[in-house]
Amino acid sequence: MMHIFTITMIIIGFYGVLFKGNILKKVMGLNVLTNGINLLLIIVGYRPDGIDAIALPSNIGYFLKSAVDPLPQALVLTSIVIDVSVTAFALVLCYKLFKNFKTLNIKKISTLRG
Amino acid sequence: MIAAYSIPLLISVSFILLVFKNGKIIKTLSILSIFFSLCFVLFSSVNVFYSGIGTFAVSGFRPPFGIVLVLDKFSSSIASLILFLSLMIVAFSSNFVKEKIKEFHTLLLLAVAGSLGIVMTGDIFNMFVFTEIMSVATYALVGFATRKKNLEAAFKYLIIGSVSTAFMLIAIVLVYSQLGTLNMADIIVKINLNDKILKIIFSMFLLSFCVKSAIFPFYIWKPDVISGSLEPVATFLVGVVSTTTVYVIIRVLYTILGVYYSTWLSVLAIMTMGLGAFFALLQDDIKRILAYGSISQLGYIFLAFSSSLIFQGLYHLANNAIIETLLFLSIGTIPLHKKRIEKVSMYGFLLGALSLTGIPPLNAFFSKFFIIAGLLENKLFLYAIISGLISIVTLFYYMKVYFMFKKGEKRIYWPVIILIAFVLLLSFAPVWLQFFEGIEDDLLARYEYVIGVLKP
Repeated sequence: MMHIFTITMIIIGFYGVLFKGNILKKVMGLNVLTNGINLLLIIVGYRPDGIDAIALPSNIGYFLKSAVDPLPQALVLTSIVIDVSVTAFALVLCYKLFKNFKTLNIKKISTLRG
Repeated sequence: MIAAYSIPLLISVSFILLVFKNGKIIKTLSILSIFFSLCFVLFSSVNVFYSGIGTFAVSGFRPPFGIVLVLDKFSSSIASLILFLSLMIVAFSSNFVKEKIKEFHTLLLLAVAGSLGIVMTGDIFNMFVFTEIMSVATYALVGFATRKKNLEAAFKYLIIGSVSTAFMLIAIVLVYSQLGTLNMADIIVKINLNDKILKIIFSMFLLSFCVKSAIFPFYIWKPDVISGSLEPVATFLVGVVSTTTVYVIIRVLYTILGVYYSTWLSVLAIMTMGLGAFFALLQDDIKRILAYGSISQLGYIFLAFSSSLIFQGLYHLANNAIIETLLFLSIGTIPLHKKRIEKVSMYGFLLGALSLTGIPPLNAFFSKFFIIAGLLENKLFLYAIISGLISIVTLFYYMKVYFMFKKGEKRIYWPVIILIAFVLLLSFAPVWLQFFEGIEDDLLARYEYVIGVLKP
């Protein structure tokens, strides 16, 4: 169920970033896409009824049975930080583009072709 | 492994630069930091060539669990090449970037650190992080001059680059869910090469780097971005970023997957080669011609590697990186809109162009000759004939650029002269063949890579 939801999110993101004409909508599409991937990363690390990945001498057997994998969480944090910086840069670029071209339409901005 | 300190050195210096105001200090610091990183990498490379793979476990975690930096013969030679080219570009850029010097050098050092990290890392998620460092720095560099053209090129590059890195991240997540590891050596141990799902996943990984290295269906962004950015940045994109992306594709194909022949990559390479040359003939703008020319040359490299002609491909990779840098630095010495070029740069351009066309005693002649000879040996006659013909077409578009120049005043640019010297140095083919064959043997030994990294 969650898998279908994330894959839909990723596809919507791809659609937004590739086919929308408005540059702000493109940036939003990029965000939806990367958030979909982050969600996928969390699903990979999900374990029903999991506990923290901290092993104490008392609960070592229980730990081995039901601890969650901590690596996807570390990865998702890194990925979120990268997304924030890319989005910030993209928004600055959108602002500069709007100041220079007085429009947000990619077709009117585009002068370099192939 | 002392080379591991070059990445933090570059990143820390790039932020220290923001404190200074004097342009000369900034330039000296950034040149020195790249020079010292080059020294570190060369020092480690000597160790690698004498005593095998060098590893550095970041923050002390043992390799399959933590991040590990790996230098084998292939990665150490590519890292040295990248740092050498970046040194030339930084030394050259001071003639060109007059305002916002410190921001420019900060971004350039970050991009260099990113590409060095991609080459040195042994962990695919870490590779993603370094790819993003390199990419974001280059997006900002492309949009650096904030003229209309640059902004547009930067936005296009940002969208295309982010979508391709998104593909890379999806592939990494799926690899982790399938194999439960991110370490490249550990992936080699755990991967089952007959598994169709893993092949699809790694194809997605390769797809993202095919977009970044601009081969056939995805080449459209490159001429736009190169013609819309400053000369040092265009040189960086063509010389350093292309070499890095080719490195990643070779690493994944050869070391992780153990695929030495790939028909679809050969077909894409032939298309890249042909279309690049064809569109280069149609263009009028100097930078666009050179951009399409560089796309066409990447086709040769991919053709060599996808037909298992490894040392030939490595030789052409080194030649191509140095010559493209030479070409772009020589046209960078032209003042804007005047098309006047000083003498040494003009001879440099002529030398590079003739070499890429394949005029006998020069370096790219030897590498192209070896590639075509290897193709004939493998009975791939059609590929050999096409690459020979396209090599002749190369002459026309480079000469078209050459005759656009007019002679200008005499000023000496040291980077151009050093690069000319290196082109001549690489022309002594027999000496270099042994070197590249050594790297080939290293690249084919997948299990020695695993043993060298994991140290069981």
